[in-house]
Amino acid sequence: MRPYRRMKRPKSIIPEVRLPDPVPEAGDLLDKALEVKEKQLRETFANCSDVVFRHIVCPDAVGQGIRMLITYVDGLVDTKHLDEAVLQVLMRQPLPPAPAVTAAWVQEILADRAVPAAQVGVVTTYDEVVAFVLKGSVTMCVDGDEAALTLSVVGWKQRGIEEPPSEPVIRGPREGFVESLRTNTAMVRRRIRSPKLKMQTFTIGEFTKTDVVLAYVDGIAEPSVVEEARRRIQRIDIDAVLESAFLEEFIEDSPKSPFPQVQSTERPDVVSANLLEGRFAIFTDGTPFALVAPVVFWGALNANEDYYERTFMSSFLRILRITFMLVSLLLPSVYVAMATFQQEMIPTTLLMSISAARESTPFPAVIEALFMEIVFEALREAGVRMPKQIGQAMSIVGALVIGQAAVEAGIISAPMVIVVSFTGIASFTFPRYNFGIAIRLLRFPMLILSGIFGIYGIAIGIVILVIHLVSLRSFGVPYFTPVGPMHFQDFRDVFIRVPRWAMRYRGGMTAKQNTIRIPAGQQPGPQQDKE
Amino acid sequence: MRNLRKWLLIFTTICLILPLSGCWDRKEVNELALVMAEAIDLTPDNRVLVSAQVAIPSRVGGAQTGLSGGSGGKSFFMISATGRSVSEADTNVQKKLPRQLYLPHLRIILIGDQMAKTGMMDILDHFGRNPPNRLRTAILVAKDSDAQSLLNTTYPLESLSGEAIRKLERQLTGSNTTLMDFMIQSASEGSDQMASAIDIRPAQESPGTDSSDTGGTNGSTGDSSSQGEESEDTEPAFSFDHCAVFRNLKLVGYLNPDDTMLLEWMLGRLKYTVLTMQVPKTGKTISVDLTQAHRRVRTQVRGNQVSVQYQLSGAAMLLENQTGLDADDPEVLKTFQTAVNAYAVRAAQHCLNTLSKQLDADPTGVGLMIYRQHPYDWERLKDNWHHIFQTVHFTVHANVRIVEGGKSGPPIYEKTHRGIRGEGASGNSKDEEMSSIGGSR
Repeated sequence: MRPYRRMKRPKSIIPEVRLPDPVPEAGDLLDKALEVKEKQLRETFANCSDVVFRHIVCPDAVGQGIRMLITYVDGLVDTKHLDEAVLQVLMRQPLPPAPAVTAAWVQEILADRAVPAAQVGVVTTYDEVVAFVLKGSVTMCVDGDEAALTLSVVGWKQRGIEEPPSEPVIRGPREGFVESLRTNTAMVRRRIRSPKLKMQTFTIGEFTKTDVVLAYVDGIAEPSVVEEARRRIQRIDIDAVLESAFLEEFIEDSPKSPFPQVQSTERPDVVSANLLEGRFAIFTDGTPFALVAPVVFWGALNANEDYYERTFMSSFLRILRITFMLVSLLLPSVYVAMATFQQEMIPTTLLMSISAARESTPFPAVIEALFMEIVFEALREAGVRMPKQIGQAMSIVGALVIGQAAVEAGIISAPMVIVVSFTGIASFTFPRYNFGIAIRLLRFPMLILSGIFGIYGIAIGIVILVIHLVSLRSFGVPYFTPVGPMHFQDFRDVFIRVPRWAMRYRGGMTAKQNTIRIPAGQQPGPQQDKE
Repeated sequence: MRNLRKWLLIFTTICLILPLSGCWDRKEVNELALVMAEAIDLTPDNRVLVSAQVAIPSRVGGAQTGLSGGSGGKSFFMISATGRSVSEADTNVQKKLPRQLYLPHLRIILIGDQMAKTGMMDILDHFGRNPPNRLRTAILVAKDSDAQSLLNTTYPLESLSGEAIRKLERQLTGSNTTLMDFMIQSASEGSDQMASAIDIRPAQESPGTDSSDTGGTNGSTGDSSSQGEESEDTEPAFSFDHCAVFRNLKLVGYLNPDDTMLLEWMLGRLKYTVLTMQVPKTGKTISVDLTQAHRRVRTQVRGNQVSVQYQLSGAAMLLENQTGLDADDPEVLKTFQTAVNAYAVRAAQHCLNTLSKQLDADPTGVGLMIYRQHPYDWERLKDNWHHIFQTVHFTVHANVRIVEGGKSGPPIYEKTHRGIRGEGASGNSKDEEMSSIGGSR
């Protein structure tokens, strides 16, 4: 028996406790009598002060009128529109002549002929009625029919479309996603006007019943990948989906990795570009962040603006970003390793100034670096969370504390301040925030390794990191493609970005069946006579 | 869950094992005594005296103390100890130091005259074997003096005198003779060793003192030690123009400045120099700036008779012209060129004579050339090489081209005929001016 077995706890025997379903009469068909229906619904919506019940009587040809119950959630429904387009029509004019209210009356008379609304539906069970009411539809239950009419006159308050603050660009579209799912999918649909763009809706969340849309371009995206995504989404059993991250953590391949295997973006142009490269996107109602997968390591160093600026600048910026990624990851640890173990690697003159600066500092370089890095992270976190007005003052104080006072007081050496601030700047060059977080986090183990083993420790750290990265996958696509498994074709868009007309192929791993993106021979130049 | 626990266990084990070994070789920079230069001398009782020049970082680096430079504190201190070997002396130095003697940043090794004469074998073994020592360390010889006193002088421009010596050599020859160069020379077949020699002269030479530039082969002994204690208005400065010549790793003598320069040229190491020579028939001198110095060596072996031909070439620019002749005139330039070449041949012959006849040392690597060009003959010659070397017949050809006459053709201060002729037609004079400018291109 291996020793660690003894530490195992007996497996918990308490079964998972779940709250009872909020709609107890699930699946029950609607009753005929309006009173029974109203009682049932009122029971369901007990203590829900925002649910409105409204009785109306519609004049009909016979003259005695048909009683109806309109149910909706106040605030989710455009009441003005409801008044003008539905209630006025129903209550002023007599309904088209029909035999007495029977089974198919709602469908035939109300839905097909009487109610002037674009999106109507007929439901027959209580929980469907409840679901539609909660979704923001207006439901009309009719006395004597077992069906109810739902009409979509949604009209809740939305945030306007703005430039996404997390991904600003100099050149490029300025609109960003909002919290409403349909607005977001419409923004993408407006960019890809093709029936090949498929959007499949799922409803996830025991309580939130959040709409989630899986979008992909049929004919480009790898069907097996899309199928896998669909399977993973359907597998999710969760009480609430409040942000796309709730889904991300369920569908990613390696939850223990610090690296994000799903990209999140606020930009419709980014989503569209990814869809056209054979990836899929997941929109979640209630958040402006859409998820894009499968993604690779090198994609995290690409900004959307790379494709909007000229190729030289983009290529330069890419190389700059890769360099600064390494700086952000390694600079403090390299400094510590050199200052405490491999002093022979420092140029003599530099060693003199480092040595002079460190003459009076009380802590070893590792401790100093860890302290400074943590203070910097704290400053940054405080800067994000603080109210904007206080943030200004705090950043000044912070800069003074870590910048000047600490050095003058002899607690921190001046080169360390330079190293930490340089690292800080480097960590802001990541186009993707969640990827930057991974690097920021990995800096600390690297620092500890280098504090223990010096350059050797850094080498160990890098080896472990690379092993991890090449074994990582995002929806079956190796994370280090196209460098991990070599795909020379895809090198046109990794370290440099070639001009658009030379980007002839889609990503080799994500779009295997539709590889040609741009036909050859479109390089602009003097017109050549071709016979 | 089980997996996680397993990993946790492995991680904890590693973390616990790490401090158990107890070997943490971390050392902060402020626990190190950075040795910037080492002087190695031989004491009269045949012990090795190692003097380490340890930098005081707060005086050298650090902008904070930049303003207090006038306070006059030395930015290094010397610490020395003796021992039977360099390593033992190092250990004894360490006993006097609260910080660890840190050798990887050693920039120069200064060998005392006496030490070099006794032999370099022990030193080379120490520096070639002990890992912290770098082969890129420059190696120099203290001319006619012990190395310690030389290293002890402060130098106004550089905060570390060792650094001043190193830069001096680099500045003048373009590179340092490193330990590696020295070892290559000593390890290669048929070649003796050379190293730059350094001595101390007053920084300001008064008009009264006669310059020792044209001094003899072995220089004047005791020159540096007497001037080390100059009056305070003339600070001592390092002077680098001689070169130490070894035979079988033992110092046999010094070459004078001209010979040193020619030796560098004949070794193919010369990058840049200024030559001053007399122009025949005028008795006045010109100075040229020599660049692109090259040499070609051909050897011939006939029995025990070896003859060596040196072909020296280079490009020169006229720097100064005391003769008053018009340097734009191709004929004049040709005269100058002949003078330069004649001078080079003469100086090279002198250098080679000094080496073969007087010192019997072969730092030019004539033996190496024979080894390469006539490997079978070398097998026969090598045992007796030092005798044969004295009889080697040297021929030197020089082919230096003067490519540029400087900013002006005739001396610019001189009144030319232009003024007189220009009275007639100003247009003409302008044309001539143009053509003269064009001609100098």
